[in-house]
Amino acid sequence: MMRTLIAVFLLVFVFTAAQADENFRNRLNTELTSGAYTAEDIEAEIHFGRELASKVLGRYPAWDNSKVNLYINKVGQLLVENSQRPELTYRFLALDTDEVNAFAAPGGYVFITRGALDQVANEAELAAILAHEIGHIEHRHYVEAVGLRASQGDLESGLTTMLMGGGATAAIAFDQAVNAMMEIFFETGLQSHEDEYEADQTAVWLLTLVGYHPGALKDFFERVQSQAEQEAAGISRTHPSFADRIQRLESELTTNQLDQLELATLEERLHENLK
Amino acid sequence: MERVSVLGGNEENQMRDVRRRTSAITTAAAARGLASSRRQQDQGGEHPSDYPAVELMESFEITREQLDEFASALQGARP
Repeated sequence: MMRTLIAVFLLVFVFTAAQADENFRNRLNTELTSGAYTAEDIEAEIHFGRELASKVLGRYPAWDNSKVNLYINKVGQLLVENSQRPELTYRFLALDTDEVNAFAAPGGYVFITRGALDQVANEAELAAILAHEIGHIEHRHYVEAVGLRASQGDLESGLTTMLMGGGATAAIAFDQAVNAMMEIFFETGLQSHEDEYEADQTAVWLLTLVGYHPGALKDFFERVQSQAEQEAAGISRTHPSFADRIQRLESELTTNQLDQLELATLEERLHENLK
Repeated sequence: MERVSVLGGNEENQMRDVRRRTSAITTAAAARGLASSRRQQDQGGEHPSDYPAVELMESFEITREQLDEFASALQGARP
């Protein structure tokens, strides 16, 4: 039985890897050169993400703990090894707040709160939260949400063009986009719940590819759902219900038989670095 | 067990080339962002900013050796 499961998993893995490889080649040939996402789009995304990161850090202070931040960066960089966006430099930082949440600014800026770190039971769960946020960046969910790209067939009217052009119009458009993103982060969440489910799904596969327990994100949601309603109010307000996300994750895990894999959780290493 | 990668050998080399090439984009964007951010900081805004904290965030660097050592705990777990 186990042999069959492993064979099925390897088939899925090989297919996924081949597909990812194909995606990478496509991007290399199109998005980084002359396709849908131009070099200017990417530059604007990083510029915008950096500005948004400064606003997140204006709201919540950085957790002044270099040991924790170094650890988070190591876990994050392991996941990014499987990134399909090699043009980005991913960065990770802990925020000093009790609120249980995590954020991903476009361009590769990923945050996790101290409250969320208090809730994770092992390194796989920490990786799961970071992987979900990486998923948002990989799929350009926020880039699409604020129209941060040159519109296809209408390159002159895109926000990217305005940002790169400079001037008063660019400054206004930039500020409006930043404010819209802050509202998405802290008030409304992404309009499409499918984006959240897609980031969850990406997290499952990133975890598996690196060698972490594929069900770690589901485990984390189950714990947060039952233990910390008040602290997790931010997530509840801006994301689909935990019940729906858990159900979707269970489906992803069982459909692909990932729930049969016993991969690493690394509880002890988490405690060595966080507790 | 060998390290699992999405990309094969040639593709990994390609990926490194892309990272080198696109790092110029990243650097340019960061530089542009820094200058622009400081201008906007002077103007204030609806949400306060903390640019030194962004620079702290950008200061963490993990070497290849550190990452390989860190990843070794997962090697036996990979499918």
